[in-house]
Amino acid sequence: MIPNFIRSFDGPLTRSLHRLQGNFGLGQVPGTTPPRATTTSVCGYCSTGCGLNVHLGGRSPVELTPDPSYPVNLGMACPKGWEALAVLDAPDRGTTPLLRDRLTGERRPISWEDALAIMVSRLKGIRDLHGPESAAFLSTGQIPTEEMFFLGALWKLGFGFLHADSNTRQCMATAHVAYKQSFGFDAPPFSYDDFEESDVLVFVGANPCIAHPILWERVMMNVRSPKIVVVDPRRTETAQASSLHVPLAPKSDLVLWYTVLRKIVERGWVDREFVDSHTTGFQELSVFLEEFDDARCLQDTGLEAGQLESLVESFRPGRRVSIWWTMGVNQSHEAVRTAQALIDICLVTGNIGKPGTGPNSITGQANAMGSRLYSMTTSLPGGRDFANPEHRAQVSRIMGIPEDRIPGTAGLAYDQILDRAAEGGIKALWVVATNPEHTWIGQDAFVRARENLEFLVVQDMYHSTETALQADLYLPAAGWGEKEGTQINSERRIGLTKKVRRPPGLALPDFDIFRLLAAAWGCADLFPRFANPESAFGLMRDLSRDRPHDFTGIRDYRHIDVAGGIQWPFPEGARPAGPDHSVRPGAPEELRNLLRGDEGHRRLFSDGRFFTPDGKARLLFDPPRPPEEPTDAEFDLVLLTGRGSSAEWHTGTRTSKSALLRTLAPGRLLAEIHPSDARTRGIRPGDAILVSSRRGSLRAEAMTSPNVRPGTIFLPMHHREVNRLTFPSFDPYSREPSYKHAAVRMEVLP
Amino acid sequence: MSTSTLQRRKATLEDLDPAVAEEIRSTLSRQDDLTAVERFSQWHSRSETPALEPLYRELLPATPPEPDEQYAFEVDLDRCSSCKACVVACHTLNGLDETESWRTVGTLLGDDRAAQVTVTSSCHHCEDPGCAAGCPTLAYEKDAKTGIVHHLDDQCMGCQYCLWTCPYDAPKWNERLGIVRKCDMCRSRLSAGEAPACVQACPSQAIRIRTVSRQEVRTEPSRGTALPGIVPPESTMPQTRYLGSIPEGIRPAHLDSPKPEHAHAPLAVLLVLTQWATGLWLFSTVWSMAPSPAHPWTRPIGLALLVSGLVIGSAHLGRPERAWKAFLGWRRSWFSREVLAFGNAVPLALAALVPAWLLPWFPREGAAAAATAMMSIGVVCSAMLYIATPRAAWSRPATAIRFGLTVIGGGSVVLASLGGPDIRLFGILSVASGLAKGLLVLSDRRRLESPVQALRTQAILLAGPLSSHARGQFLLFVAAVALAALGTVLASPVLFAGAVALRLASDLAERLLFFRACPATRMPGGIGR
Repeated sequence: MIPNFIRSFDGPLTRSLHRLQGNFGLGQVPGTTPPRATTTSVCGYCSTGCGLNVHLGGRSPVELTPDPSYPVNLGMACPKGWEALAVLDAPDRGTTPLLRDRLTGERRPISWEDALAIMVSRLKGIRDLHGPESAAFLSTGQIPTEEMFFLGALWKLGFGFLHADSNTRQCMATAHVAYKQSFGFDAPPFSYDDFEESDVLVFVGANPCIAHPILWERVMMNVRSPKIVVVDPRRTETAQASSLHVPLAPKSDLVLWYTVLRKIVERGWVDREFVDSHTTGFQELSVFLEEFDDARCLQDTGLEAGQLESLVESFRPGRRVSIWWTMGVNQSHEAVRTAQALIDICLVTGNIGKPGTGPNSITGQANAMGSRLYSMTTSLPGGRDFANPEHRAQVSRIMGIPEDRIPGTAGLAYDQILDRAAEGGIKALWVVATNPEHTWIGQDAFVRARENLEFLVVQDMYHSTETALQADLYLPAAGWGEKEGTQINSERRIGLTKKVRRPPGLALPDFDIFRLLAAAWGCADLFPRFANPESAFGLMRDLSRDRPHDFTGIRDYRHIDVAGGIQWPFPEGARPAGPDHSVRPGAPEELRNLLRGDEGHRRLFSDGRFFTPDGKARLLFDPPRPPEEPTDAEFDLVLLTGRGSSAEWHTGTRTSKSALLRTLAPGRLLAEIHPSDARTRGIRPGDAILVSSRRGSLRAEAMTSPNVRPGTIFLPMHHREVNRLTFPSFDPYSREPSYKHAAVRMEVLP
Repeated sequence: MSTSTLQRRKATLEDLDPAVAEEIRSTLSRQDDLTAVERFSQWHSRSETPALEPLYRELLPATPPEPDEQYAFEVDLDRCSSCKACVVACHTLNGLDETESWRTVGTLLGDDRAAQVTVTSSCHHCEDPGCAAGCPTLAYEKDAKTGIVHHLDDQCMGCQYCLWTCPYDAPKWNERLGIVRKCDMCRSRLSAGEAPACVQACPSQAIRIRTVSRQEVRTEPSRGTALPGIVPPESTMPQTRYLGSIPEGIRPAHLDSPKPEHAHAPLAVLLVLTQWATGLWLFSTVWSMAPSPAHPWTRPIGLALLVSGLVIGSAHLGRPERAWKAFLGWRRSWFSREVLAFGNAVPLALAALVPAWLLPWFPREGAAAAATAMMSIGVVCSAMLYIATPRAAWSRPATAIRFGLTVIGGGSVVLASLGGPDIRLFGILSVASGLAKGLLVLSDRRRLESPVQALRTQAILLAGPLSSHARGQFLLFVAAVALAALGTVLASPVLFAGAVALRLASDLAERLLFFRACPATRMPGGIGR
């Protein structure tokens, strides 16, 4: 007693940090928040698709840890995942629909009855007056597939509008189109096990250390001492960890890869047997490649001959080579052909369909893959074509919807929608779980569109996003953890996200909002299978039958949960032989039977059969073009934009709500510039600088870093003003914006 | 709401099917339903064994430390991917406050050559922990068996001195609780065979726990924690080992654009007032032997300043109710010694002021001499408190000289304002000490090329983010000295009264700069933080 009084080894403050045995396989947990149960939910940020263990204290979640038994992340998560619950309690969560008063400009709370009535009457009014092309929605890769599917079906089949797109246009459209053209279906061929099975991993325009830390975990688990090559203008964290960094000039990729391909062909490193039996176009490709000599390549890319040679060496036969790309490839004026150059290399060298190989697109958003299959923006459900009468008939039959309600074209792409709105042709826009006011390239296009819109509806978790603040009508949506549904990750794994808490106030799951809108519109009878997400999942499953992504073998949500997610294809019936790897501990016997024999992971094309009519992959190429806004005397630097830190996500609508994540990000706009560029302009670290393009300017703090190339400047995309500078150019096939090349200049501010 | 909106609403509401309204109601009420959780959570493992154990088993030592061994973190820099999961896991798995984590992640950057290294760090569980050496309340304990340095949260009075004496920024201040908390290497987890939070959470398995020899770091401290830009391991003998390659010419990213440190206003007031008080008592004690003793108000004013300084200074404590424990660390902590010295000076000074008619036999001059001695010791302890930190801008004789000149300057200018035959002498002392201190303070701003990084950083801060503060302080100082000089010429107590106010303001401004411009020692910081 006396000693503790003089020197207190115990007391209330000490006890407040006591750890207790948490059970449920958790080990010790904070004593203040012991869980009564746990449940797994797939993370809602990026496409890695990690399993997160939500600790439930009674009926509300108390804590969250990564799930050790989930086959994707094996008990690990990045800071965003760890903090997934923290962002749900923000004060700017939408708790009621808001309507803008036309006279005062203020937003006022209204009831759901009023909100639905207003939305339906305005949209019907616009459609009746201006036709089915007069409204569009812009949605997201951040909501479950069931919700995307419902939104697309409701909009196109129920309301009868034509135009719709989603923010996956800004990230994955290129990969989607590249795969579809080359393989006949949007089918990323890999499994995450391929990170562990490769001898050579080539990362192109990808920084998984920061953007996909848990995929990097899988790279670190590779015990084959792999050669890691990073092709990126910046010496990123991943480049720092690589065995070879190829710091090419921004947007010189296509010349580089065609030169590499030519040298592969010249050296006889082509897998002739594979090329002859499983591809078409090799002859034309070989002729095309002849013009890509080393001198041109070194000139355009700024590389040294040794760097080019080391890169080419990576493709020497006898080793398993996998190529992984993200936004550095996808966001370009010639993005699809760049992705296809990588696909061509894998096809030509036979690096496909085998462990540790593949031209592999690492997806961006949590459910971009679900969007690509079921959002009904660019294709009918299940990757079917609007223009294909047979596909329309299939959809009509399976969904029980009259065929004449199914449009015969896909409608406009994102940039075209905004342009049409700016011209006055599109009168109403419905923005769901995305923030174009911040993200749209060149930004001006959205601002001009907004000015001419008669009716802007924003449906989001937060009423404070830049776009929500512009809305005429705001609908409060439930967030991740407040609703259920499935998502599809980069390796085609269908995972389950669960409702672990109630949404705040009057906020509703997007699925319920769509269901109520269908009722208010009077078209609910078209959607009998959209009673709840799991029932809609059943419809998605039926739509997958005999398609490349066939997952008719999935019984229900519980099946997905117990398996730790299920990769498509997973057709009904026979399972491949093998042990039941994929059953997680504690799974009940009845579900074990469903999973018996499933390896738990699988890659595509091991039989060399592709999804084209003739079963052969296409070798596709085009001559390279220079970026549309080259640097000149006035705007002498190339602006690159991208991820700032592992604690930030897109426009920060969620990540900025976690106080802890905020401490892990710079908190202000830092412009990364090379010390030599700083010196010639008299800029010191910490100086306020003005960065300008032909479209606008912004103020930033100079941060000198040797890791950006001289002549370039890097700005993180998480600050709205950055897209004032970006240059709106688009890939002609995917119409994905090129966020990574604009001509700018900088000067020090007094 | 505008009329047109109202009209439109009326029209549309009539259209809305009553069944839809009912559907809205039932949908909203269904939101409370958490059946999914109940449906899915049942089958999950109820095991007490941590499911991650197979993954981290090999990251932990097979056996507990032998005698003369301890646990230590080992970080493989080549494996770290910069994801910062360790920071968040520490926060989550230890139930810490909103922005609290005991682990930080920083960056080392190359010069012109492309290179960067991410450094994760928490407490290094030093062989001779700087935190424990500085702590006045003995709130740190280095465990004899494990070597883990843990903090006694219920012992801490929140003085934050350990934040300065730890060279590695390991103790973290918790504003809400008014105490410091820090990494205890998750010792309850280790003792149960579990890995610490950061070790469990690292996707790249870059952090592990080793047992290391304690003897080795004592005889060969250079084998301890060493990285570019951090305090060399000789001082506290940190035990974390960093493995992996460090490219040539690489340095902490946070050095490029330094940010001012905390101003610690209560401490600035404490230092200035206790030093002025000491000056007054010092002069009055010396002058008591002179033909014309100092003004009779000298000592009461001095005591008032001393008590005010101590009271205001205690506002710095997060838990002032525990201030009585501050003497416990007197064997090692200059903080404890400062508290003891000034703490004893107050009753002695009070005794010295007991009126002669009350206790005629009381040796008042003896008490005054003792009080003066205690105050002087207190000022020495104050100086040593800063000199003993690993902060290069404080840890030099200039700090003692600066404090000494404040003693002379403060005491002399107040005495001059009280008039008397020695007004010119005090005036000269005040101007001379003022000029000397002014030169000392100015010289800090001219060290942009100093070989010592911290002094360069201090100069950058004074010339950059703190330049207006520094200019203001300089103007106040010039005004104070000029007025004192004029007062000396004219022998005018009134002018000196003005000089007192200006000098006090300038001394406070100088002391705030002393805190704000002194770069903390730390592990490499995050970019832009």
